[in-house]
Amino acid sequence: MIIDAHVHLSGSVGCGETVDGVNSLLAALDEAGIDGAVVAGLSDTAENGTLLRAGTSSPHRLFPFAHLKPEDPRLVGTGWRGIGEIYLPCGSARLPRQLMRPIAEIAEEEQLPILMHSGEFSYTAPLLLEDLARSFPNVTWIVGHMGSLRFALDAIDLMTRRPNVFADTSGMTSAHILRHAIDAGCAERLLFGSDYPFWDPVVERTRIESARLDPGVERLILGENAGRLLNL
Amino acid sequence: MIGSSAALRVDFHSYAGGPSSDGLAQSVGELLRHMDEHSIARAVIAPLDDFAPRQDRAHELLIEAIAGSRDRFLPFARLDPRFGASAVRSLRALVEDEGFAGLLFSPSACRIPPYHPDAIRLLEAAASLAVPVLIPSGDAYYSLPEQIALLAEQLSELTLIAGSMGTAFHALRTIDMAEQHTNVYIETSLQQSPARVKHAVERLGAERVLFGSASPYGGLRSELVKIDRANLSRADREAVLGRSADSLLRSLVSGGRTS
Repeated sequence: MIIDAHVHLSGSVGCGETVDGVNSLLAALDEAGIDGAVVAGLSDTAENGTLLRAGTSSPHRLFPFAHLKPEDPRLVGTGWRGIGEIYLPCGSARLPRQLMRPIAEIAEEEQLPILMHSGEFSYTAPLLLEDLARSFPNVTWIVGHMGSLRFALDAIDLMTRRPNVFADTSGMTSAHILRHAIDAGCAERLLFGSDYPFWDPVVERTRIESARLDPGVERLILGENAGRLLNL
Repeated sequence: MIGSSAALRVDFHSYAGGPSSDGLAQSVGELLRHMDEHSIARAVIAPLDDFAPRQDRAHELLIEAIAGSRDRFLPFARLDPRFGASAVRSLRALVEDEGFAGLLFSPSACRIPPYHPDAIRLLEAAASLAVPVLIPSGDAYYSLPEQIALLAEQLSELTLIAGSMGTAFHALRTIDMAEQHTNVYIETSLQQSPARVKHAVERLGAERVLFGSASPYGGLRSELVKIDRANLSRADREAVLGRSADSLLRSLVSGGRTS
């Protein structure tokens, strides 16, 4: 079973058309031969109703993550499989640990993983997520984009120290670094992700398959790890 | 210059040697195997080693490694402008004596912005030698498109290639920047969106968009799939995959360089 652990329902790469809706998403997954996907919120809690309906309409294919804001961390409705994607801003008056505590407490109580955006200078740099992983050890934290290429080694470094940290591969382009993560003992916490509709699931799946991994490890990354994390 | 096949494929951004500061290494043999698997005729190749004090040796090793397959590679010198006159001398020797075809200057690895006076001195030498300069772009402190624009304005006679087209976060502004500076080309690696490749071709013309893998930071197979998914016309696709690189290098030779 192949699971894309990081997609969104709508978005644009800033040129061409804006992709929107469940049908477009399902068509893209079909084209890439992907069985199921984590459908994450992006920036607006108003999107949560649409995300939940997507999960309800395709319960065996789409697994919704709720977008929550630290200042209003209400998880409305049932059927959520996780929380995120959360972008931790710079310049907040509160430490990330304080800012994220209400959301982390919900995640711990509901046994839901939290998908964090990563990959830029700011609190989205993976090493700056360590305090969250340390402060909330019973929460599973997913480093979205595996730090992107710029911070991929930092994401791996974090994973080696914090067993409650996973990472998805969207935005991380190097097969060599992927193999380094596996060699560092992280194979069971790496999740294939595409960040659709920003990136192309066909291209992103090709990145994993062209890395020439051990077939068992490739299966873990392409779906088995996500299946275990989501209790599928 | 490179060849005349209709299906000519050139990878304009790859590395060999190492290890780099982030632990990556790749042999010329490995790279050649990937090139053969994907019908890449030639590749721009630069030392992977980004530690300046080792770079003289890195160039020697690269020259030795590609000696048996010299027709497959366009070696680019990789130099740190902070080494001043020494870096300029190395560039001149590598181009004039060893037939190197260009310069790779990584502002983020050297921790120096592209418009810094030290960088300008080395890049002026590249301009005088009529060789192009490949700048891996997209680092949010040293190689943003806005920073490369300052260089492109200052050295308008220098041919610049914005490597990895600004990567994911800065690709659109990199295209904007190249549109404003006709001496700037774009290389397609690492930025993940096929739609943005098509956008770059529409805005700049396929003749200023060059296929690249940035291997080992990216992979040839997935980078080629990305180009396939960009829905380019056949002519534009062939240009991006090789003809544009060929034209660029031919124009530099006709502009004064003969090797």
